[in-house]
Amino acid sequence: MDDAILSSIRLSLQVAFTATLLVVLTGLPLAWLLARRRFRGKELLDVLLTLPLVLPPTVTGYYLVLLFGRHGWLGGPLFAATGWSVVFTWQGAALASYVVALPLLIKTARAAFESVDENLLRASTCCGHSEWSTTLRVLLPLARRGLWAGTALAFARAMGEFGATLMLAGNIPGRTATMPLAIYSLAGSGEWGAAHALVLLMTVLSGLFLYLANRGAGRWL
Amino acid sequence: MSSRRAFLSSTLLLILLPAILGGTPTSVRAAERVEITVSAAISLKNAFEELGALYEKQSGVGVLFNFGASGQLLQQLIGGAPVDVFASAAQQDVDEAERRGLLLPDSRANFAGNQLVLVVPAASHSRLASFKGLSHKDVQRIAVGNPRSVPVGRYAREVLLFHKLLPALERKLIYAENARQVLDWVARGEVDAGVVYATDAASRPHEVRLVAQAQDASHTPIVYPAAVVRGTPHQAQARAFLSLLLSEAGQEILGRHGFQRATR
Amino acid sequence: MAVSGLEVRLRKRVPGFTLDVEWRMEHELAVLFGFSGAGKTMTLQLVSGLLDPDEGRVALDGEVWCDTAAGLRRPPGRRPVGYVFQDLALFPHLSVLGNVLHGAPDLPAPRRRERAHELLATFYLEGLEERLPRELSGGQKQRVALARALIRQPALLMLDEPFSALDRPLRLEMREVLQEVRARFQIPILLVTHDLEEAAALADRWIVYEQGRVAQQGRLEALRAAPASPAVAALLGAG
Repeated sequence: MDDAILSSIRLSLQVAFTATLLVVLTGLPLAWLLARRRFRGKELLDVLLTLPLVLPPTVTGYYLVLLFGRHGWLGGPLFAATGWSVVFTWQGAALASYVVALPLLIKTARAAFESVDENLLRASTCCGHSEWSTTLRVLLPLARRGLWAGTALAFARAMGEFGATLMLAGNIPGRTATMPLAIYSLAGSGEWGAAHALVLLMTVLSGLFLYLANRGAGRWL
Repeated sequence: MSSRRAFLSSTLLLILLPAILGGTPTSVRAAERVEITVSAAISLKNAFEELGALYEKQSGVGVLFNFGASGQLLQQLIGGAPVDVFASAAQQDVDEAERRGLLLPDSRANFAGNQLVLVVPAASHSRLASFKGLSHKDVQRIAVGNPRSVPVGRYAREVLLFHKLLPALERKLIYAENARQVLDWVARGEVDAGVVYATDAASRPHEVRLVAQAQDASHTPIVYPAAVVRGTPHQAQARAFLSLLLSEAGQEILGRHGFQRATR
Repeated sequence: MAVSGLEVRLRKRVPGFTLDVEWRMEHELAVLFGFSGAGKTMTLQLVSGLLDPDEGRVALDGEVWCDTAAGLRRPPGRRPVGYVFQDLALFPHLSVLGNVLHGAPDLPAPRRRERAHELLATFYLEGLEERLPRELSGGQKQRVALARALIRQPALLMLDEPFSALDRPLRLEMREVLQEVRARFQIPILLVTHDLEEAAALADRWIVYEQGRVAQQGRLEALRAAPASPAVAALLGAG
């Protein structure tokens, strides 16, 4: 039983780190695009990316299964080609966490980018810097507190994901049962002692990340 | 000024609207109509919905169903859920409830039986023919209920142990939260095979294919007990529901959904 | 035919405002003079390339930076312009040295450092290399902005109301600095201001803007002697 608890902690960290890494790698460029560019369909893109934030996790999970299930629109071809499916794997749990955490970073990062004085960016351009150079040397450093806050929030959300994870990855001890799922199982089978321990740990960890997010946001806000 | 008043009064109206419309007729009806809440194992869903309709027609008493895995239902009961009847897919959960003094012991009765079967997705080309065949390398994922909280998972485990397939098969097992989820995963082709109740397999005949039925000797008899919850304000109505389960009419409905007669 | 100086012809329409100007200046200090909202900042942005005109042409010493008729447009980074913004736009996260270095991305690092230190010396900023902008006085910030604009050795220097936030003694001090820049760098300087006294003290040429158009341009005496309109007379008049 301790095995299940320890593995759930390990899985939670594994899933959350992987998901957050992907969130940062894809979310920062997307946030940059939304903040710095005007294009047709921009607000539609923003809405699509933000949807998982407001949809119930079970709805998000439903769409994920539709897309990535063994017979899903994307999962089907993948399974046919490789014999591998993301369902019931920790990668599936990471995918679910990624989808729900992404909007948090995008929203925060976009706001952080937009809060940087436009004049500073113009001045950098006039100095002869390319867009990339200006982004790297002026925009990112000045937005960094907001970016850290967004990352911390995304991580906390990724760790706490339940509904979509349950639907896509299942609740398999040692393989996909992250802490929230383990707590659900333990409560469902009456093992309150173990559930208490995990609940406490999750509360402390979530609180810690919120604190870090606030500190990061402190001066920026 | 008048536009502001109009806004305020229309907002007030909007807030009060449900109360106005919902008004007296319903509240009067609520005072007269009794409802009982039945927590039942999810494998009983189709049969109980039909039984519930019959019960309401016969007695004028409403039935609210709460379906789920028996283990989850037990936890809800322990947590003080205001349930009137508890119907489980295994003796174990009712035993535990009884041990905690949550039930009226004289009300307990076995009302149905079930069989355990091995199924594969209907569209699958699997050549699986028996439980023993599950160890073949072509079978990568097997759905079973979570033995911690789902009776069908416990029964499945017994069968696998009987055929000496555990612990080797452990890494292929995918745990579901309840019996219907096991069925759903097989039906959708997310897994290569699953262990479900015969009644569940029969509920989606075109989406799953029966491969084998577990021998009686390979698992504890699957017997569904039900009991009235202690402290219910609707004891008479609850007992009446149980009587219906055990009656000829009730047994006929259960039989039509694939359940076996209860062997008392 | 070698054309010398800055040639500007710009037309741009935005909701509620139309800019339609044509003027030129030699290698001198020209003041873009007028009330707020007359289009002075927009002109600087168009000349620098941050904005694009609907129609027009900008060229310096015969080198064409922008010509809508020919479909030519050089991006802002490629125009040899030093631009001091109205609020200076110093990078708050970079030191004085960092800010100045940022002004010359295309120079090799050693050359860049060398020039930066030269400029810091020129502008009496030695010793302040590691300070952050928020630790500087108003006058010091101005000079850092100037140094950053000049490190690339631009062919044109533009300043947008640079001294408006300073108190009087500092304004006088900065005028001196600007005179020094003018003497040392010998490049055309385009200064935007609505301060009459300042313009009178610095300008070789006046370009008077009025609601998006050039009301008049030339030397101060000529303008005063024959103002093109009562408005210009009023702008330049009393005193």
